[in-house]
Amino acid sequence: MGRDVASVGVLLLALVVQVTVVNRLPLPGGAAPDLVLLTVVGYALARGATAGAVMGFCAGLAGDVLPPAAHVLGQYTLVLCLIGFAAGRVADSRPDARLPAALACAAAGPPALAVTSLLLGDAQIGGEALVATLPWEVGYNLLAAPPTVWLVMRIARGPRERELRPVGHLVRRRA
Amino acid sequence: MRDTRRARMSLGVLLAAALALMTVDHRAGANSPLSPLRTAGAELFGAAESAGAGFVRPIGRFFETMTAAPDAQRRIDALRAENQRLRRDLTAQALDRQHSAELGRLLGVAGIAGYRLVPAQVIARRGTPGFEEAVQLDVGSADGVRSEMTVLNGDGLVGRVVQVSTSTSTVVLLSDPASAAGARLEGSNEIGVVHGVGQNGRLLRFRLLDSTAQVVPGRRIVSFGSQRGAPYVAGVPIGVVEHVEATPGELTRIAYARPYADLTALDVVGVVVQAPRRNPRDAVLPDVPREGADGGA
Repeated sequence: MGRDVASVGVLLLALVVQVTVVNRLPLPGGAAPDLVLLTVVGYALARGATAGAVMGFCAGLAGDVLPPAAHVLGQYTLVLCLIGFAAGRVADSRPDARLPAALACAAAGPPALAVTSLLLGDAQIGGEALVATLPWEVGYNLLAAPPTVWLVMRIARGPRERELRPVGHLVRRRA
Repeated sequence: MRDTRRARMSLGVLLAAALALMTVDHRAGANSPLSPLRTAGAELFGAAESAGAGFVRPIGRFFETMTAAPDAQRRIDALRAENQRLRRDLTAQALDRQHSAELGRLLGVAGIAGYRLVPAQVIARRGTPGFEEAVQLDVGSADGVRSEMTVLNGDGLVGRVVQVSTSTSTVVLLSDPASAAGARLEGSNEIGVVHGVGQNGRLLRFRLLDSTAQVVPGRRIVSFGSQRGAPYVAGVPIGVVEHVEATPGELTRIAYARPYADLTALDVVGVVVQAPRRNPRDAVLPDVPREGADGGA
């Protein structure tokens, strides 16, 4: 229970920090890493597909209503829900492939958001802006992914499981 | 496998919910039924964002200040230098204006009375209150100044020259206790002698030779003049009577007068190198003092 509360707290913090700090950093390329996406990925990698999808849904909904928001309500929800589910599935089926999964999700986030916006006919996203900004966004996401995802996974996993994990490794090796 | 199916089912439900949200919001446009949700989010996260921004802004400003510090230091230095220069100019200008005003008044007095004046500036002052009150002027014998000449400024009598060198001269002020100048009351022939009393030149003692003469506060005093205008030329305003001392049984009456010239703050003065051909009498007296106001300049 405590770790869920901590995860939600981290998510809210990420939402606010994203719009107050990260988006206003004068980074080259005019883009910034998406901390909310990375938080959802980390949570899903630690807790599995169902929890990841639910968390992605909630985070996306919060991100949709988070001011300043001028897009159709629900598109961030859809994308984050899908990404949370995908990350959780990978963590469920192949626990040793977490790092590539995290990087893949981080890279897939911005294009997926852009595609949903395009599908909904959002006039704000033109083709040129897409080509100019998307690579930067993907790059920043990839750079920020390892530390953010690691931190969120540590928080989402909770203290008890961290203590138990080495024992589990030993048991598996003996068997 | 059951877990996966459950996960897939929940994913499907969530995706359907998201799609429903998008559809409703997209279709309904401005008056969407989801706008209360948006409003609530704006309220909640808006507060959090403003708090976060309030927390973050000082940090950002700190870093901005740090990066701009060398430039700011240079700017501060430049501005400080400019400020200093401007302040110096302003002071010089104020001094010049003051000199100009004093010279103008002096010229006015000289013009009315017909004195020939050598303008001078006070360059040093010796003041031992009660003993000696003297100033040094920047004119001397090269400018036509001789000893025993009258010194005045735009307001009134200042003193007399006692010693002259080539380029400077020493003036004993009226407020020097050892100085004595012949004076008379304005508009009458009552004559007397003006002594300094020290007191930083604030007051002069006017000893009236006729003990029965009427002296009331507010009467003005002008110099009586000496033979051939040395040491004092006639008709220079000296001061205004402030109070009269009751001296029953004495041969003289004593009044105290406030000098017109501010003897503690002398700057531009004039040395009378040639007395007027005719006594100007009261022509150069300042206006009659109003009740309670100071009578001089």
